[in-house]
Amino acid sequence: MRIATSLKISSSLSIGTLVVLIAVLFWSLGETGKARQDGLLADTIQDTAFERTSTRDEYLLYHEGRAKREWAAENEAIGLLLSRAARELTDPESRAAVQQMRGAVNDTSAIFGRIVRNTEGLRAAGGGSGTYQELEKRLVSQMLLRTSALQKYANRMQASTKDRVLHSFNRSLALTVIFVVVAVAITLCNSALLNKKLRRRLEALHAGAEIIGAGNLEYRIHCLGSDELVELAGTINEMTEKVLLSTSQLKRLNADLEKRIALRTRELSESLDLTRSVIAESAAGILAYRGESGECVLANRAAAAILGASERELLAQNFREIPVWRSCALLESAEQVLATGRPERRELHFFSSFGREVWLDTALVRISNAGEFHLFLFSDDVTERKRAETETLLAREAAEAANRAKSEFLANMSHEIRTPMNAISGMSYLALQTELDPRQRDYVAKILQSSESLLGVVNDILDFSKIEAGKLELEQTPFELGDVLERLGTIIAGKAAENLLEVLFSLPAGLPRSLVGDPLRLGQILGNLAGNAVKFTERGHIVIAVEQAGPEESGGIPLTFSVCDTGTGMTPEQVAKVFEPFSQADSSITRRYGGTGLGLTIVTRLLGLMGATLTVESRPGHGSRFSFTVRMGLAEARSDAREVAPEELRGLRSLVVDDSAPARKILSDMLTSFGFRVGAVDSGRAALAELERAVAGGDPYALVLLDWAMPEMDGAETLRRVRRERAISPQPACVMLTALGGGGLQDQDGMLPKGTGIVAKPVQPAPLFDSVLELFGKAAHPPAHPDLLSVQVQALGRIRGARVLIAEDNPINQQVAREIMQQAGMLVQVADNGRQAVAAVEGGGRFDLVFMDLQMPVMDGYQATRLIRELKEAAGLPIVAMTAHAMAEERDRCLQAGMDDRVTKPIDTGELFAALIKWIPPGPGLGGAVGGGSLLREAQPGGIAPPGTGEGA
Amino acid sequence: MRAVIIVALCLLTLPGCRKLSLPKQPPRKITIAYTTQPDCALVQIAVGKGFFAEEGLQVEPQLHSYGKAALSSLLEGKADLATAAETPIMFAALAGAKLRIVAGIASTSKNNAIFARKDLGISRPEELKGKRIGYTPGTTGEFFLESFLTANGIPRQDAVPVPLQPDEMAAALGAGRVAAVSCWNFPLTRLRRALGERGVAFFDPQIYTQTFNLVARQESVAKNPGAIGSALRALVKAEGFAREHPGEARALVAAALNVDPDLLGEVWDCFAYQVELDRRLIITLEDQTRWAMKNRLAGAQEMPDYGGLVYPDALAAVKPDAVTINR
Repeated sequence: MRIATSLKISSSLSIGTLVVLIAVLFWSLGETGKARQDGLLADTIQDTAFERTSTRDEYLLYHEGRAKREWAAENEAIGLLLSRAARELTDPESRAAVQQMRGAVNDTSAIFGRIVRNTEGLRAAGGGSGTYQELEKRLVSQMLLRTSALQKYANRMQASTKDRVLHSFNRSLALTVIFVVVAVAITLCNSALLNKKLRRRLEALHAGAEIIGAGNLEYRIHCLGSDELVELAGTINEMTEKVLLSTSQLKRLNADLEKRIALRTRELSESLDLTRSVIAESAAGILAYRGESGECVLANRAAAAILGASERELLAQNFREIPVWRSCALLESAEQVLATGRPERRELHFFSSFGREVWLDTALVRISNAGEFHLFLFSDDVTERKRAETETLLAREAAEAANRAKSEFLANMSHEIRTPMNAISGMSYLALQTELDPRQRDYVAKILQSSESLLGVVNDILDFSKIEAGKLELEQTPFELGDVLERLGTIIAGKAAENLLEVLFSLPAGLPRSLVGDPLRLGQILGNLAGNAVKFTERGHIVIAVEQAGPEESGGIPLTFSVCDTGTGMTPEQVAKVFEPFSQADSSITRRYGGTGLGLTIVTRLLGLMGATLTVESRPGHGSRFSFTVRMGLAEARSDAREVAPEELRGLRSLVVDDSAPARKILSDMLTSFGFRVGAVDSGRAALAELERAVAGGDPYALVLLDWAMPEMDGAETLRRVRRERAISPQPACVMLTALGGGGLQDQDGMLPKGTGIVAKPVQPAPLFDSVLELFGKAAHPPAHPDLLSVQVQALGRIRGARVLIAEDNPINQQVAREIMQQAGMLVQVADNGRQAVAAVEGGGRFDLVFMDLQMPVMDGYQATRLIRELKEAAGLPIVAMTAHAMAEERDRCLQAGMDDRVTKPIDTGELFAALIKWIPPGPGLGGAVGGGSLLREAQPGGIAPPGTGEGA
Repeated sequence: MRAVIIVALCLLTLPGCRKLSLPKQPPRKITIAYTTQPDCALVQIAVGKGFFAEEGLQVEPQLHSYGKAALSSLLEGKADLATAAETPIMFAALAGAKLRIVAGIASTSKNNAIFARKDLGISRPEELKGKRIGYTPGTTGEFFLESFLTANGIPRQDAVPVPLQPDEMAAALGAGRVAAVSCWNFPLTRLRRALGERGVAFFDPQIYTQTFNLVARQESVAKNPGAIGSALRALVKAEGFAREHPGEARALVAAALNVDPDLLGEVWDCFAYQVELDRRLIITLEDQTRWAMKNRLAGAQEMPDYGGLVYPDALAAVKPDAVTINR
């Protein structure tokens, strides 16, 4: 049994027994008390009975009244006592006695009554009657008898109550003794139980625990039974097992640890030796100081060598007291490193004790060691390097200065060249507008041509120098690929026509045409490449192709541009050379073809800025192909509408007539992409035959594309023959393809029959498509690519009479600008400098537009603009800068100064007109104030006022 | 723990500590002369329940119709013990018989009555005057008649006592030879049942208390006190049995006496069946002695020492608190 259970049972039994015993004892004592009270009652009854007997005897002796009365009183008393006894006495014996006593009392009372009556009868009889006397004897005798019985019962009751008292008392006594004995026994039992169950076994446990505690871990405590002590012994044994196990493990670990410590110590010692060696042999000077005291604790040989002191001298130093530290502001750094723990790197320059100039690259590091901060300095002697660097720096600065000077020189030179060039071309232009005899016209035209050529060279040089100086930035603006190609075609076509070369554009259907990028530079690149192609191709054609090189991706698309010619071609060596600046494939080329040799270099650099490279495929005698792939952005607002014929024109039978096979191919593809059925022939004669055959075959051609320039029978002739040929019925619609401007063709000599479409070569899909639709009366929308010039002419007509102020210091430029604008119908005023310009505006000039040169004497354009902007009367007046610098930063500067736009110098007529149209709103009072007629007509030679008629020249 | 075991062992051994029963002796033969009246109920119970046998007595019952006859048998040496009321004992003692009263076995104040025939002119006690009244001389009936007449103011000479044996009384009364009889039970109750409304019984418990006693001869007491003790133990057992099982006791007695149980039931409560020796016996004996001497019914002239007549030792040994007579 478990101890807890034993103790519980034992204490429960003890308490239960004691409680029962105490209850019984109390009951017994109560009984004793009751018995004593009963005894007292019995005594009283006995006494009263005795008194009653005495009174009876007294009456029987004297027959007197007092005794009779007392008898009655005592009779009553004993009656009450017996009634009480009947109530209170509970034991059967006493109750029986009481019952009998009551009978006896009643009997004696009755007998006493009879005795009294008999006595009275005797008295009445005079005392002589023997009967009375006899009866009295009998009654007295019975009275005695009953009294005796009463007395006996009273005695018995008394004895009984006494017995009860005694019995109760004895019982109480016995119970008390039993109580004491049981209490003692329980105490003894509990003590024995504790003794047996706990003490001896606890002693055993204690002894066992002491043995184990003394270190005998092999000892096991043996304890019998199944109680808590056994569990405790088990737990101690288990604990001992674990301690034993732990101890052995600990010993093993200890041994292992000692081994490892020894190993580590050896490693550490080796490592320390190594560290010492490293420090000692280190090329870097190493110094260590205590953070608090500042004393030096480590200084290696290199440090001593660098600082020109012995290691011992260094070790004797306190870093807070070294003068050099102060002079180099090293002390501040050192304190900061110590305070923050952030390492710092300093370059120190001082003179060592030997007077040597020393440069040190020093790292200051805070290292915590043994609870104290140490300041470590790792110094590399960089004196030599520094010297070399200084020299290099000086050299570079000199070189850069030279380069800068060169660039500036170039720029200045360009500027200086351009200014007179401006004058030459401007004046030539103006001269061509006057009446000249053919010879003069030829001369002036050649002057203009040469000046433009020279301007091209200068522009190239300027571009190149800008690129070299890194000042060229690319734009990212939305543009139409068609516009770029159209402009390219315009530039190239003329030169190509001179060489009888055919220029072709190959644009696959569905190519995105609204792009984001730098259209100017893209045009420049393609122009350069195409220009070269034209230059080096004596016959054949040039194909400028654009292809999609990959899928659209995050708003961009890779496009491959290529320019393919049928020219001389190049050897691999020549190809390698073409990229070198200022060189060409062959020095003879320079002589044959002219040119600066900068074109391809600029192209390459521009492509480099666009992240692209130029690829060249060329073989001598087989032409060349220049190509590059650039990633262009896609414009958000796209006008990539594919040219697809309306339903009724779908399947239209069309015929391409061109002597050039590539041209036939490209045109055929284009028409096919429109949804037409296409046939192709290589000559006018073949075309006539084919058309007739088609009519005979019942499937006549509805459209003919005719190349103008064909050998044997040109396009115009062919068309005429077609129109005359009765066999060709119905007559097909016809589009003439010409390298010349459409207007020129129409006007030339009216060679073409009415109803003939004209499309400029190189042919682009959109103009061709529009032209075809127009022929078939389906042109639902206005031409997508209206002629720029004609639009300008119309717009300029609407703003005729507008007042323009030109601020320009150069008189020739003044003249050129003024006269061009006057020819466009503007009222022009000229200011020589900024101050004059401000005064003119201030003076109530009421100008519609101001052209502002930037670099002017007295007051430059920026200042003048700022002042004009402050004038109330000039509110909203547009100011356009005229600048030779086409750099973006300059444009920003112009805008900051308050200018609205800019045009470049030398003055380009088209650009100038565009600015006028853009900034002068057509309004009342304009459009007819000056002169009349179209600009075109005025631009005809002789149709314009001579130069110098403007104001303020 | 050891203490507990010891205490427990002691408690267990207690019931084993009984009196060792004595070696059995052969039963002693004893002749008891007793009556067929209800006064002897305890003897009849002790015989019927075998209490005497339990006490080592082989009882030879000797039945008599009344105590005086039983006493005579004892005196004649025909019995060892006899039962009798105090009146015959008194007369025997006065006559010089060597008797010892061993114990009282019953007492009553309602067993004696005068039964009279109403049709013979007696319906009140006063009317007994001058009438023939039957009685048995030397018995309680004679003493009761004398006392009753006195109590009713009738001098002895004003009545005509007619001596009769108890078994003659019914016939004499029936024949009208007597107008009343002084008798006891069972004859009394039988007469009341027989005559019904024609008879009347006069009781007076305040003038007489009858005792019924066990008597032995002096030499028997001296010679064989053990037998008397045994007899008394048997009678005390019977007393206890009658007290604790009154119904069974009555049935047993009725069967033994061959009387109607109802008849016995009618008279049973008149008796106090207690084995005792107290002063009342002495008082009664002396009273009757005075009466006998005054009426010259006995030859003696001096009051004998009835204390010497009583033998209380045996009863004191068996039932000490039943003895209230000083020895």
